[in-house]
Amino acid sequence: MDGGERMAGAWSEKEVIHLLNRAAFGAGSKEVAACLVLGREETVRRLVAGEALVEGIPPLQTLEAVKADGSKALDPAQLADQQLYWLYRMAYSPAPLIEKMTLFWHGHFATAYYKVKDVSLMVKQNELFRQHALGSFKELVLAVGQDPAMMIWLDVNKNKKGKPNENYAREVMELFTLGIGQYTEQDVKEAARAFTGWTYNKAEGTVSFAPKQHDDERKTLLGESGKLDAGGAIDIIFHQKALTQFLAAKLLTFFAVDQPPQAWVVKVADTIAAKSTIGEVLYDLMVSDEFYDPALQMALIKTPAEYTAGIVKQCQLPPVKGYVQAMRKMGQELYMPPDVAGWRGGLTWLGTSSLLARYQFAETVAKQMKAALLTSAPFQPQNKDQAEQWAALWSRNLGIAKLSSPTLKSLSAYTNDTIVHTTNKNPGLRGLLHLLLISPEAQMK
Amino acid sequence: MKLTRRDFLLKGSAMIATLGLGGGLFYNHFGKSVFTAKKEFSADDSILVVVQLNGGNDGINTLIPYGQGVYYDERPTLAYKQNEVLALDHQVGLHPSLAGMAALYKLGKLAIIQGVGYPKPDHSHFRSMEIWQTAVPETISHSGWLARYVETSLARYDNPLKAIQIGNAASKAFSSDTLNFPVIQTLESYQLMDPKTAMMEKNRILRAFQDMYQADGQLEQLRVTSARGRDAYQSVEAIHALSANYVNKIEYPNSGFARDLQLVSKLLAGGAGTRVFQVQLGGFDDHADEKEQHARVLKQLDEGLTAFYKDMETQGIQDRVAVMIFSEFGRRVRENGSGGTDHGTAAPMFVLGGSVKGGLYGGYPSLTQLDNGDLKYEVDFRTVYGTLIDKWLKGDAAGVLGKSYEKLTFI
Repeated sequence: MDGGERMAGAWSEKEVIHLLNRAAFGAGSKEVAACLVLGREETVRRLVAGEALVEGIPPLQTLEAVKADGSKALDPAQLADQQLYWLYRMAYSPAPLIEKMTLFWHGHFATAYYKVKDVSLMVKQNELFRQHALGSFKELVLAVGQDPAMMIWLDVNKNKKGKPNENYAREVMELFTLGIGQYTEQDVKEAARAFTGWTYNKAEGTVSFAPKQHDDERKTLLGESGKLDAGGAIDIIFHQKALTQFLAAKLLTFFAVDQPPQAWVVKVADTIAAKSTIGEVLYDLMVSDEFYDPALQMALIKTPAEYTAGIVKQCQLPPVKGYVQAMRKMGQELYMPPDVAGWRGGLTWLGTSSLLARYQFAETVAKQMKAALLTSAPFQPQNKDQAEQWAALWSRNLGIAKLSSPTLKSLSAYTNDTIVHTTNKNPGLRGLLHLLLISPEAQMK
Repeated sequence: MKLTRRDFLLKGSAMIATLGLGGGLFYNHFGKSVFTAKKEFSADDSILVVVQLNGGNDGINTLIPYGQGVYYDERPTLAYKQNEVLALDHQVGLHPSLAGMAALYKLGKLAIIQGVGYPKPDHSHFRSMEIWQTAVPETISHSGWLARYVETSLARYDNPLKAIQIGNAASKAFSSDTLNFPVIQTLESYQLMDPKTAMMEKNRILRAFQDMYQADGQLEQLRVTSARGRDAYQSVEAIHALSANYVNKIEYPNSGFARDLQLVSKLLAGGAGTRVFQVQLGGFDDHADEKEQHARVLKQLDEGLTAFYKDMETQGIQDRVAVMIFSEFGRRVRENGSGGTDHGTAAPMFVLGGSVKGGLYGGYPSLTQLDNGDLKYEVDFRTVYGTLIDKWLKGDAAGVLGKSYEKLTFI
């Protein structure tokens, strides 16, 4: 606990920054001010509904209208350009929770370009995730089974009557819905038979069901028998009690806390069972007092996507192709999760190489940021002689709710040397930005 | 500050002593020398390089039982003809992509342990890999087997570079509650700041960095992140000091895997006293169109290992280095309907090195006496681990594995 009683319904700058770090891609100072006025319920309602938090934010530009590195048009057929466009969306979307959940589903139904080898199919799948981002989980699972990129990724296309391919059947249960240990090897074989018959025709770009390739015999899956097809198998999987807990634990780990306590998992699982959409589940979670427990604030490690998109947004950076490379070095390349289980998250983001990639990115940004913004009014403290004021103001502008005492001391000492007592403040301002971005605080959400 | 290796050992000894050894140490402990070259490592210490093949390597099409008709019955499209296989004897031979390894086998440098697995095999990539990495099949363990080796058998050394992972992702084999092992992608990117930044500005930033990342007075939520930042800072200094010694005499093939092995070689040349390395190679999950894909990744494996072995010979340290190769499982005996194979169980392991007693160990699992379509294992993988810890690394095998296993004779 962060000292003192937790206030029911508390809604100060700290809670706002916490929510925007978790449900969006970081907090800008304008958004923080707007959310304070909106209140907790209305802020969360808008996030879930995909309504903007701040009046008058420009709508997203299309990929065709975005220019990379100042002048280069993006090519929708290039993976790197699609990666950059998604990063741009994360940073600038007026509906950031939808982008956040799209990223969640991308990690959940982890499908990678290295096997799919078709940029348009990866983007189509991404649109599917965005469309279902806060909708019904069951509808999403059903749709994913007939998504061409997934069909290629887990060999659905090759799963035929008499020649079953177990890849999709296993991962549907192990990774998408139930978790390991909730089914037997025999269940995998039976489910594979149920999923036979769906094909993706690459030449025509169509997904269809071929009755002749479908195994229409009787199967027994998870204790229920029948002439199951894909829908029937998914129905049975959705009868399992393990499913709601599996999803609850995954959502909590992503949004709230590493290793969520069982009681909280059960509570969220009950909400999942009672509600029909993920949006309702997240609304309940994000208006609850537990979600704002001070011990949870700044206690999760930002994913590279959150770190990068947050910096792009807070420093108002234009799309730069190098940012996508930087994210890959940090350990998260969009459309390219390492394998079917997605990114492992947590401490794995802080392996030495990944951490060094963050530091290098921060240095690049500090060197590239527009001088006009660095010296603009929102970055000027009232009392320019007070080093602590610089550190406090700048950390707020960068969506950091609280500085530890070593960081505050270090930044103040640096600011004294390079800004307060120096005529040419420009290198000091860039240095201060650099240090804030590589601080331990900036790695956390 | 650029250090030569000699400078590093003389002047940098205090710095290295603080590397990665828990949060409380850091630069405020600089100057307190607990590091002496004599105690730290000797030039004769054995080194283990673990190569992890991700995705489940098809053992049957790696060490091919070409002498058995049933192989051809079960693998109508995937089987290699007798004249394509690189025969080791009248029964088994290596995949045609493994020419370099076949040559090393003929020279007696490659041991192949057949049919390696564990009881109640798991068919999940993640669970099975975790079992191999923790060496605990029965329960979920948080500690890796290589981490336990370092913790139990190298505890008396203060060297922070006792084990290094190469690649993008950390392995659970190195998972430890007390130690954090460096993961290095490439040497070029292993930098805290742009090398071109002006020295004065760089020094200012690095000083402020160390102040921000000090352990004292840190918020609870930042404790681990702060320790990780200190580790990163210190291992960058150490790695660059050590790798400067490498002279490149061998041409490595152009693959990520080969570059990773070459990085191992660079770090060995620095004499950091590292005893364990891990390198990974992915792309073995051949559910479909296996023939072409498997041939391609095995070729990468073969060419990378061959170059690495040559490099070790050039440096004269081939007798001190053993390479162990494993995957989380093999694949089903019968191919599936997509020209691929589904997740299976037992598969061969390989151990390569100048001091290794080459040959075939264990028996090839029966292709007809199956367990639900899967091979039954002949050798428990912990037997291989135990042999390497005990006879090669001279460590405490029973301490790492929880009990004693039979020792094999490949060392």
